[in-house]
Amino acid sequence: MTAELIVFTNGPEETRQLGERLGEVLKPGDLVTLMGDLGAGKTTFTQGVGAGLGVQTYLRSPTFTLVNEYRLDNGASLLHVDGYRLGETMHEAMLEADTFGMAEMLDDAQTIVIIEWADRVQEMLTDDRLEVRIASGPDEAQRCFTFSATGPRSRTALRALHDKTQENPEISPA
Amino acid sequence: MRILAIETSCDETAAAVIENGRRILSNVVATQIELHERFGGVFPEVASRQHVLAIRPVIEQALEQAGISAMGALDALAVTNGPGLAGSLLVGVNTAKGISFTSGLPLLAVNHLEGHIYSNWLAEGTAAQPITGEPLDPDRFPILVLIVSGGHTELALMTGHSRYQQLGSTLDDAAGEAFDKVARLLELGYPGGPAIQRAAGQGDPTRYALPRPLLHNRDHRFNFSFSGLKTAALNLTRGLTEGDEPITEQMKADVAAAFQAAAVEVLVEKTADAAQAFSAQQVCICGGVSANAALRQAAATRMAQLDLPLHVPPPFLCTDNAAMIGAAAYYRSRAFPHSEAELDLDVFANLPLVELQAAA
Repeated sequence: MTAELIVFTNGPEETRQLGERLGEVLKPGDLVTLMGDLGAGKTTFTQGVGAGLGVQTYLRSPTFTLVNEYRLDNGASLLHVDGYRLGETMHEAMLEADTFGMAEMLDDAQTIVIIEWADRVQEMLTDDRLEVRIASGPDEAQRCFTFSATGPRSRTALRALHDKTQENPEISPA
Repeated sequence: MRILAIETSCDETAAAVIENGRRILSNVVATQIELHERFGGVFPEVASRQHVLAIRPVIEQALEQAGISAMGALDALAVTNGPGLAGSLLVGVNTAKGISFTSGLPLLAVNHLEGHIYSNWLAEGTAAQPITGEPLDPDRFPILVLIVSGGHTELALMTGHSRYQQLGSTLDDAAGEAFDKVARLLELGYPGGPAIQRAAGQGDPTRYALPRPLLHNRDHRFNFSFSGLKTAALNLTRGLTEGDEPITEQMKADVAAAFQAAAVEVLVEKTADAAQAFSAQQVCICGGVSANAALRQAAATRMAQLDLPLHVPPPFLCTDNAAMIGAAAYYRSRAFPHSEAELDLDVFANLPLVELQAAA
């Protein structure tokens, strides 16, 4: 059964904070997928996730490198993958993802993987993942985040995120 | 000193032969389009597999054009080992290792970003690819460098050959990536840089106002941010298309012009600011976005005001190529003798510019 959490944010700073809360609860081996249009706030949200995980630098866009790796203090690593520039069809996208070893990354228990434009490589993804869908509106600056957990591991992360957001009055579940 | 250079960090398979760091004897770049033609149109869209197929003919062509019939006529090999796509980088590095092993030529590892910087040192082109304009003074430092491409936006100070101090970089998207994404949202086509430039040429850059991210931000004086500018362009475009009327070509041109003006102003002003702050003797702009005419024009005007010599490579050296890798390798081998790579040379997808100096 899929568990869901819906959170609204008003503006980039709240989006970043929501990402930071998620970063704080992620564990090595977790997979997070991000879906949302250009300008939805994927970059801002992911920068927050990096901060929450204790990454000291800004997370730069992996659009051209396809994958950026960050070492975390606990010995684990964060892999930031971008499906935007992968092949036109899902088959081609998956072939390309294969060339930088995405399958191995997803199997690595010491690695947290966060994938933007994940719909391009859907079939390659681990069954148990935290899916994040970002939608705009109704106001220009407002965003609706839908978090869906598809297995036991991601449900643990989702529950922890739910508790975190309840502590934080700015970003509370709808 | 003649160097055979190989570059496969992204989508281009390239090889070149460079003499003494400044003279291009040959410069071969196989883009995806050329490969499609050569292999009859059926070609998998897999960057590293393209490189595997293209690398041998490209190297052979570079040697032939340079009039090199035996490896003994060369002095060294150079190859890009990062940053870039790991799978793509591996093809070049493994090929270079193989040639080094069989020929006994020393192997020099080059950072792709350092290659872009040294594209400005190439002074003599070939008949097909001439280099004109005032050459840069090869030994006059410090030099302020702006590297601006699809994957990078970096400000660095060069204090000597192969010596860099990173001053700032983008905090999110690279400038070229923003050009691509704005071109996509305006449905102007790919690649985004030339498409935006074309549309902007028909547009009024003052009709719409877009932000200049971090332009006067003291905490991020030499850093850039283009993700927010891209989003602002997106919101502007959406606002224009909310009614029943479709967006007109003129509106698209005006948005493209406004976006280009904003991106160019931030790039040029931060470069000028850094050049003054660090008393640079020369300024270099390089990378794919440096082919943009508006950037070249604005930078030329601004640096002339500051009485600073500005160097931007000819367009064929702005995009990825191996000539620049050969130039960088030459100066690197002079600055750091005995820095040859071993046969266990690895690739680094996120290799930063500054790590070079620390490692040397």
